[in-house]
Amino acid sequence: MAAATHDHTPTPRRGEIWTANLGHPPRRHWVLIVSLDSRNLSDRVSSVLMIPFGSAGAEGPTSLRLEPGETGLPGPSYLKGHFITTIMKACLLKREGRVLSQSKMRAVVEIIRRSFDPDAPWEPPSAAGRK
Amino acid sequence: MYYYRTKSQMPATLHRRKISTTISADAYEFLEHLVSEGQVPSLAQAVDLAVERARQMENRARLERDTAAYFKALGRKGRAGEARLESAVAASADEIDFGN
Repeated sequence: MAAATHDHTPTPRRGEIWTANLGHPPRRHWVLIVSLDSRNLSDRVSSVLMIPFGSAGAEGPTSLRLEPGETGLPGPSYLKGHFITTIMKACLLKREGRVLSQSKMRAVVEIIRRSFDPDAPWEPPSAAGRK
Repeated sequence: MYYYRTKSQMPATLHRRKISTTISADAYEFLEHLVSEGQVPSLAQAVDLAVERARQMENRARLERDTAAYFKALGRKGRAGEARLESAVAASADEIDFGN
């Protein structure tokens, strides 16, 4: 897997997958950067918005399953929009090889929105398929 | 002449459908009330507004129901994964220094 390490403040971009230290004691997690690049690349802001990947889960209104071919991660993973949070840029350890496509990022925005907006549009995949 | 690429780009007045039907006296009174209150300019748009509100309520109920179902359906492994992420992101958010 392509990876870049850094010894200065990281400059993540929206849609990139990073390995990051989360929690106490710190544990490595894969995270997706979702904040806008104007924030991500600004040296006046020390945090970015991210959502973490989970290896276990299911698809739902706020969860999106991604295949290894889309993420470069070793197995299927689940992005959890209901865990959107800030993370210090300094906690980002390693940029992974893949960047999510525009259409996937659109879907990511939707799972995040559904976690806090009761009026966010939602059609279960089976219902959408019947149309 | 301007061509719209999709139906959704057209102004609502350009792709309307005509219906002819009967409704209850109560429903008619409600639609007229929407017009007299100035919420909409016409009876036709009162029907649109009522349908839009009904769809919004339906969507809200579906989203609430399926969100609850997602968490309820998680197996032991799924619940453990959620709990791990929950405590990891909560601890990381705690590190943000808003004084800076």
